[in-house]
Amino acid sequence: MLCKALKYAALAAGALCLSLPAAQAADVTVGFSVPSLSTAFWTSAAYGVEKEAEKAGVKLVKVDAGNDNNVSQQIGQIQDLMQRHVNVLIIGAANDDALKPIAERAIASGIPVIGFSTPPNTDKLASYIGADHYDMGRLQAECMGKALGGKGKVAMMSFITGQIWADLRAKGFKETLAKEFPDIAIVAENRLATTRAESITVAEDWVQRFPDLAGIYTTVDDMAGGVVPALKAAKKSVVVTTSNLSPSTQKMVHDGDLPCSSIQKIVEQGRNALQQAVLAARKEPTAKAVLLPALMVTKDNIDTIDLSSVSAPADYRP
Amino acid sequence: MDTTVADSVALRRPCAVRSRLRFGVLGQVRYTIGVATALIAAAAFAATFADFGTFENAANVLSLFGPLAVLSVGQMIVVLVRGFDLSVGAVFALATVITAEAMNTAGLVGLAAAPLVGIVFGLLNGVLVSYFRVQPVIATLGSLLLARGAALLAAPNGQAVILGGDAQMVLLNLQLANIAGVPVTAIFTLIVFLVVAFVLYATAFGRRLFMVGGDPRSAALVGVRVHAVTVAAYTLCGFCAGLTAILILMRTGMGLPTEGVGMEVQSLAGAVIGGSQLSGGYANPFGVFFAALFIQTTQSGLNFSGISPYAAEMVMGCSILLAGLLDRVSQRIFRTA
Repeated sequence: MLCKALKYAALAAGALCLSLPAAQAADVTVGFSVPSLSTAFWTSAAYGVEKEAEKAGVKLVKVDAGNDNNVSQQIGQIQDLMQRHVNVLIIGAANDDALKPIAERAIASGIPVIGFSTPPNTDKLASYIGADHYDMGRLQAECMGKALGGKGKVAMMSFITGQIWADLRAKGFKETLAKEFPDIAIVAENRLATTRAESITVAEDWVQRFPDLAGIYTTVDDMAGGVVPALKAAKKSVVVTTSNLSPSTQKMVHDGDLPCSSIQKIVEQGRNALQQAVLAARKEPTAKAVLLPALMVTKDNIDTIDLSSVSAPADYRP
Repeated sequence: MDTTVADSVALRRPCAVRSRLRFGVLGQVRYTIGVATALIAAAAFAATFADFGTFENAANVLSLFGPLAVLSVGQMIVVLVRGFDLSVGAVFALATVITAEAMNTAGLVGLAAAPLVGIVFGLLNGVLVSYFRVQPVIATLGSLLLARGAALLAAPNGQAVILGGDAQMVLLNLQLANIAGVPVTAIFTLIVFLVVAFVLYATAFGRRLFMVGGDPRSAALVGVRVHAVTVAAYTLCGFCAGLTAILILMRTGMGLPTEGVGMEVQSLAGAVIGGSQLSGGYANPFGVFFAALFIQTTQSGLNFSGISPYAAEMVMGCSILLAGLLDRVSQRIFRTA
């Protein structure tokens, strides 16, 4: 009887062993921790990191906290990666403040940390990789300026306050308009709306208040996704610009409902993060910050533009 | 405590009760599944990764399994009395938020808010399930949403509540601290389990829990106040969720309104792999302790492995299935023995 039990146990152990790849020998092991690999952003980021790791011939250990909110899970996973003695960590934080102590603990134990897009809130990072959000706002301003012929009234949906990336995009938009298109006036700015539904309400208020409103800036494409159909239904011709490129946004640009969208090179960010990580692991000098310029997608280039630096191919599985 | 004559008769003859609840040696085999699977997982990963089978990593795994273990042992108590609690994840999230805010105004004393929040929700669940006869799935789903909403409302903007300077460092340092190599959080967890074991096996209340779980009607006939015992079981489960909040605060140093999604199901898995049965009547803290350890060992091992996180989820799922199968298989082997 006991033999039977042992046989099952051995079988189980065997099954577990087989399901794991044998540890490889590489001089550098990179730990990569993200909040959620079920979002398009982190999947594309993981793709970039992974491709670059293959190219550099280093071992990559990815962990996924499973949800944008699983802060304690992510901390636990980083604790595991530290135990595994990875040489360097790349962290996209589920919560920048909550990940600060564990990141600083890793750094104190001799494991350099690269902050990725949403870095742990510490000034001891070896490097930070992210999009140039100011540039994304700047490109929107250029697109808006051209579409309006350099004059008219514009309103901004700038996302909620306290989101640094949203602040930077809005800043890039405002400063570029002021410099390059001084005849365009910003007549209103909303910092409450974030969702599709909220954006529709705000846009409807604006077209009532400003009958001659010519343009609306939106921080993310979710907002534009609400605003564009609502304005279309109200038969208002208002130019809407946005950032990011979800499939529905691609369609709107393709159909000419949106003149443009400024997007970040997510895969390219992943590649840069891995490059900086390898430098840090080998104790070579790293760049304090790598900000990747934005890309402009318009009706003219949407069918031809190379998006390989932006998003992972559809058949990629992290 | 009121003890009716019938009650005390039943309590004076524990052997009769025990044999009916299959308390014999063979009945205990189901509680060893957690130990067996934890050992198998640890051995498999230690054989695969050089850094896994070290004392250092054992301490690491022990420092991580606390939240799941404490939630699972709470879940075990309600499963024992034929219920379950879906609200534990949301309740501990709410408890972290309230506690963080309490600590920011009152200092370390505010830590007491965590078990209190848990007890309030446990009481609510218990009263709904017993006196109002609401089915556990509805009662605890309702309180899950209630707790989640309250957590988001209590936190400014629905964002995480950062613990103020000193209190945060005290908690975070406790998470790192160890006594003779054993993490303080693991000792905390162990104490919770010892207390639960004491309540179950050495008190009249514990015996009543088993009686209600085994057969509520018979328990009522011998004078056990089934409703009150059920309320107490849910309250204990809520209390455990509150204690989990303390462990989470020690790890993150923040009140996190959106934490704990999915933990209700994991804690149920912990209770069941630990030998509980959803139909009630079975409970063993020892089994649940190792079941939670098994789940954390597997998770940590998969984090070591570097395999695709998607595949890792599947391996995790297969391991839990394997544990379930092992339970069945062992029962067949030892019953025919």
